[in-house]
Amino acid sequence: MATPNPEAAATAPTQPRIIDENTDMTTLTDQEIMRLVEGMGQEDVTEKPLISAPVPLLVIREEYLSGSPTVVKKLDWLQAHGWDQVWRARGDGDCFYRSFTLAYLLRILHSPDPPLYANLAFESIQRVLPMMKQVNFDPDLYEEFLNPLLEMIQSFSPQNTYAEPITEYALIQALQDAERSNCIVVALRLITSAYIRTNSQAFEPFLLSPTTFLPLSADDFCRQEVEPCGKEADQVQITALSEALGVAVRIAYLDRSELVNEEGINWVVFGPNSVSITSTTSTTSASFAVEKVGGGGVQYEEGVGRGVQDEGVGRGIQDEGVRRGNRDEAGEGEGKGDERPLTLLYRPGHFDVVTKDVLPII
Amino acid sequence: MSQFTTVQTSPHKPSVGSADSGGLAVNKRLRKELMTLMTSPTSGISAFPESENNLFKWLGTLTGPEGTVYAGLTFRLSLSFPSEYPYKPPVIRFETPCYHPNVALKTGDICLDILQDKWSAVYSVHTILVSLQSLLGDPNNSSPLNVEASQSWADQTAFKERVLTNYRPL
Repeated sequence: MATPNPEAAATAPTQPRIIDENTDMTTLTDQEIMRLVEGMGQEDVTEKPLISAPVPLLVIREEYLSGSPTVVKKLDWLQAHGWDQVWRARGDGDCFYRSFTLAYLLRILHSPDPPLYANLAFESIQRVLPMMKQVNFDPDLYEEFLNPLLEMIQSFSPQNTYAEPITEYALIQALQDAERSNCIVVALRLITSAYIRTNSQAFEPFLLSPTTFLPLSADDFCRQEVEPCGKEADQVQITALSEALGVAVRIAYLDRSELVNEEGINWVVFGPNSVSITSTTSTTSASFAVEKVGGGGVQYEEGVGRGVQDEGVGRGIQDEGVRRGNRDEAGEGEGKGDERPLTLLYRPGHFDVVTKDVLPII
Repeated sequence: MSQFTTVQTSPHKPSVGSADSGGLAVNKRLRKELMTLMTSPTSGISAFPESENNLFKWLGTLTGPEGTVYAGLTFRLSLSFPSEYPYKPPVIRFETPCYHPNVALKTGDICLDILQDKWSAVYSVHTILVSLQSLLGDPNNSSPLNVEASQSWADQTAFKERVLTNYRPL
């Protein structure tokens, strides 16, 4: 390769700069992108727990003090509004699915009536089984992968007299078991894949290779980007999983994007807050418009409950919307439905769970 | 609704959760796959553990599909399963020299997407062997491990000669 100034290149070899979540992605050179791509999966993360007990949000803030002031501002806003606990997932490419699992189970634990909510969750998983069969997954295989998740959900049942009461600690401990956690990751990946395949028309415009940005068929997309462990989830996967299970996912984006309001955070909401999850056939209109300002009336399937109230979620969400955080509504004891979104924290390339501090469940 | 099974998430009994995390779950899965291969055999492919004591190393055989330059030839494969199987793919090599665009002639290494970045936990020994069988007749010439083979693929008569020259019967 011809170098315009060979002397300069020889005398001053450019030290690769450190690229982290604070780096402005638009400034990356091709070489840097290559280096990042090649380095993926090389980092030794295997020592870290698959998912860990919560740490104060302040710990994350510490990491950003020398970085982006915008991100620190967003963290401060989260802190001020009660979102002060982060449950870290291992950064191995499965972090979205592991975070989703924990948030899904915490949501049952912190509901006003865990056995009832566990039942609802159990049923919503049962409802995706026909879809998985329809796309020709082997029932023996997916049932085996689903069992650990179903067992964990069933452990909330009052009939489950042998198990100790479920606590946050017990959930974390169960999810730190590699076999169980990996099984659940695969199960969620298969649910996601089945949903994308079943609704391929709606997703089609968004099925792009994350490396080449070329369009992929639903089959190729699922084989490449959904089913293999270690492949990061992006908006398509998040939308599909949240719609398939009828649970909204609300993500606090800790990127350096400008805020709509002076303070606040960019929440991105996925899932069944504007479409009916009963229409699994075709017209779910791939509802991952990144900004969902206001939930609007939702048609939940019967059994899941009544429509969600306007949540006021969206960019620059303010107090009112956030008031409906994990714990709050649990205390309020809403009706039968479960409209509480799972709340995740996103830093470029990584997902964790973020919750409001809750009293220990005894 | 199915019966409620007990799940032990008790902090006092951590062993219940972790008992499966080592070799046990992999063993179970491999045993199951072995059963499937034995009870519903597919023509032209087979695989079996090398020894009773080690389920993590298998030997397989693959017969070249009819209508391809590999027709009538039988290849021996070695399959080695990581402890993270099925979340990580097995390492598979041709033990019989196989002149093929996507197989390294000397080492037997195979370049097949589902054995690398497209591996998913739903694949099995059976699906791998079936894929390898179809790879024989339908190579991916755009990413060759054996460049010479990929270039000579176009001339099937000459190609077959090279296959036969390199081949060693079992």
